[in-house]
Amino acid sequence: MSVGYECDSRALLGAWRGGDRDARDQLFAIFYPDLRRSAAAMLRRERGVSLSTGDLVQESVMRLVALDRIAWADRAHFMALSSTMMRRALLDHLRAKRRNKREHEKVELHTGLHGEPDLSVEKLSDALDDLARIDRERAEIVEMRYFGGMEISEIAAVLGCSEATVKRRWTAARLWLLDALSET
Amino acid sequence: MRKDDLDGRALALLDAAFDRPSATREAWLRDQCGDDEALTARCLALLHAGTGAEARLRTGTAGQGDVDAPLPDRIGAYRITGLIGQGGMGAVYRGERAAGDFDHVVAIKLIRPGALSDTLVERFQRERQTLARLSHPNIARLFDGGETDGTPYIVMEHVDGVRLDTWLVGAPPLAARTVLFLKVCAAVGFAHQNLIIHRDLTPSNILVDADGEPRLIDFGISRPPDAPTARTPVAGLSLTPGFAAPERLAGLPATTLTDIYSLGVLFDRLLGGAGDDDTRAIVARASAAVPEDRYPSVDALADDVRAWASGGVVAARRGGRRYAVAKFVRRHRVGVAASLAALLLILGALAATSWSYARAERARVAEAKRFEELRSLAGYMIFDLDEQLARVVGNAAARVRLVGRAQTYLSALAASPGTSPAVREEAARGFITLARVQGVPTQPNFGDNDRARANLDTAIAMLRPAAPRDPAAAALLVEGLSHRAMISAHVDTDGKTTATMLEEAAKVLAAVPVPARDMAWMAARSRLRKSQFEAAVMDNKPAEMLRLAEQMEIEVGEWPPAERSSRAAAIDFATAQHFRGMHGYFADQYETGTAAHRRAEAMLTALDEAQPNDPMVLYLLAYNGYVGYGTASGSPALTADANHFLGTARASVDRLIRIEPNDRALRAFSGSIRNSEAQALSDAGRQAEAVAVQRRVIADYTAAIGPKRKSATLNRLLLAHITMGNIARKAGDRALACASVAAARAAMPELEATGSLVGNIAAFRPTLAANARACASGGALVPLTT
Repeated sequence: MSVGYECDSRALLGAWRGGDRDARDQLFAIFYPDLRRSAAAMLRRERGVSLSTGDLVQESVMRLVALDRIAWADRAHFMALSSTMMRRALLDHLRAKRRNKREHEKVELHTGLHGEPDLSVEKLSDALDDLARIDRERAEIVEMRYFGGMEISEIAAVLGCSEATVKRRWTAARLWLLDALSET
Repeated sequence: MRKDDLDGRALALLDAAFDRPSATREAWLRDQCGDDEALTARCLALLHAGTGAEARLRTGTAGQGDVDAPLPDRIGAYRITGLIGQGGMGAVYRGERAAGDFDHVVAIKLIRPGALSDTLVERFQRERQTLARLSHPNIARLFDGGETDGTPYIVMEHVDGVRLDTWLVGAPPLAARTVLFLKVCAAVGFAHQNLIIHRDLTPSNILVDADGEPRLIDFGISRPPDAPTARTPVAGLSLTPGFAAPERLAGLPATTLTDIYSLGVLFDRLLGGAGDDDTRAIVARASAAVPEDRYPSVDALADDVRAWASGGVVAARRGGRRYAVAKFVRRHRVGVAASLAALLLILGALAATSWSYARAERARVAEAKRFEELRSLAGYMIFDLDEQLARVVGNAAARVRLVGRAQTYLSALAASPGTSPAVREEAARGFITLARVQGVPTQPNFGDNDRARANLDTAIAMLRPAAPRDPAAAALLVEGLSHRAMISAHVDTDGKTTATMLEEAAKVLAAVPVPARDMAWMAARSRLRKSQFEAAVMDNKPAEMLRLAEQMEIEVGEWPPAERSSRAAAIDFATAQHFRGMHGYFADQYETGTAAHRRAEAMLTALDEAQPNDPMVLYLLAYNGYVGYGTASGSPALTADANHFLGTARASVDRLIRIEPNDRALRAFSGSIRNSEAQALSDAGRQAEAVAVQRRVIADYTAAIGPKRKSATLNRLLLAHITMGNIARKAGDRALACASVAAARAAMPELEATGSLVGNIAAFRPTLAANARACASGGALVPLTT
């Protein structure tokens, strides 16, 4: 791994923190293949067991911090990024499985959020795509909450708004999702 | 697509509805939607999506803001007529002042207990007068404040408007948004001129009335977004692309530049998708991560926005985000990075682990705690302690607090297993810095040698395994060992351990391959030479002392060219001269020694003038003077020099004491210097002056006694009483002489009890007893001798 490569990631993280969404997408491209591999490994081991993606995301980011590979201050941002990656990784895994086995294997999200039902990854993901078309940031809040297991305060840090705003937007987004999921 | 648009508007309205009491939400939504039936239906459908069978889903996420408490009747002199909204800080009510000859409507913010820290409340009280005078058309007036049932409240102008983000839902034209932003700038600029900082400029703190006039609320009273809460240990982390400037994360106080940062983000939000390269440059400059890179004033920002709006040249284009990114990369080249290699490591670890929520959560909490500690450590320990404590005049109490805090963090960090080498190295550096402040002799310190010794031992143990492979760890290890040797030499008077430590340090230093010998290595070598010199002094080896002085001078010449003219180099050259002077003292070469002390003093004086009150330089000046006095006293021809050096020593140590009045080691040093002075005065027959100086010696030694009542200090104080007894007798002050004898005798049992009464002081016992009898019987006093 070259030094230049490290600088790239770091600069991208900095640029993203500065509000540059393109930088975020580039980071995604850099890290996604590896997260997908780890998610797949996990799913192989944990077949049929409900899975907390939040744990994986938290743990991977914590390890990055422990290894001094990302700065503590970047943690929330990296978690947000990992949330998105986790969602994609789970979906990719499911689709690959289905292609190979020609059977539907249901993977449920154990969100760890008190009082939330376990949701089908695919259904939720589809609904989230719809929500993202309406309001991208709102979909990101859901993604960070469900797939990244992030706290409201951490989400607020990433989005640069108050916790109250995140809470409001999260509440409204949940209602929208409940409505959307009940339709199908 | 039409449905998406509808949903977007419905969601925005729903957001705003959650600010209202739940009972009024439906009515409010109907009111907002007007005759748009599709929007009304969609809003209500969403509002009720969470009710009925799914109602239980709301628990846990609905949040604590959803409190439908009954309205209070009145707050202060105001009758409450309604609830305006709920926020993180508390509820805002509509109030009317019924009493008196005028009625006016106000907004009263009742602050939720715990929402404001004591510091904020105190600051608010302090700034209230100024805030109340802050009269600007775009700033909501603050009328009053007080407490009701122990809950603080704020009475302000009632603004009949909507929050800025709600206003933006209505998609106002770009021109209107620009004008509004400039008005917000004008209001913030006006506040800055009145020395008021908003501290939390966000869309929720800007209300827009029906005419599109913005009104800023909550000046100076907003809860800083980085205030940590007990509930969420990571809430302190709000280094964000959002409205709070990154420097707030470091715990730095808000400045006008903090507001400029928020204005930049606000401008971005206001533009939405309507920005171009120019506005991006303006936003990038206003919200630059480094405060110095931002617009210096709100006016400068507003000027640029006006230039952009009128199609002019935008100043910010000189350095926009691209520039900022390049700068960021430069600044963090050495820093840590999110590398693929690291990720592969994680993945390996992930694959080998089975997952259970409880375990992961435990790990997360432990990691979070540890790295929170590390973060504080980096902030307080490495920067505050090292930079401020070692160099800048400070107050001892704050220093002691910081030291205690650093100790806690470091101990926690060292105790947690599996830290990375870089973190371990940083912690070791912290231990060394801390130990130096706590108590490494030959430099300013708190005199807590025991803690210093323990912390150095910890650092050394942490560094030893890494040193053979890691030049940075090796350099740190040499530093740690050199400091540790000073404690063995001066505190423990354990020459053997001193020698062992210094030998190990020399070996570690020599083992670093030549190409890896950077400035850190050279600095460590310089530190080692100083400790080796002290050891040579302890062992009374003048030849070795001279050799080390010469070697130090040669070695500074090997530093990189840029470093050779640095302050550190100048200090090393002065130290080498001081060492030559000490060699003169030990080798009985009084003339050459005195000349070297003179040269050292000239160099140190120049350093002091260039950067006054550097404790290390003052300490060297004092010590050079003290030893110089001794060297010059060796020859009667040098009496004038001797007096001069004593004067320098006294003046320097007095300056140090003014900087750090509670430094016990300094008081002891001051006592020793004055003890020499009193002796000299007494020998010269100037008994009255000698008595005055000796009084100060006793005061200094008394002040030097810490809670630990170290035997060395107690012995010195005892001896000072004996000296005072002799001087007083010669001065004809019988009462003082007798009092001194009594004080000396009274001080003995404590030292005897611990077996630490120094032998030659114990030998004064017969003459002390004789004088005590004489004092009681009125007989003649005799000299106190051994």
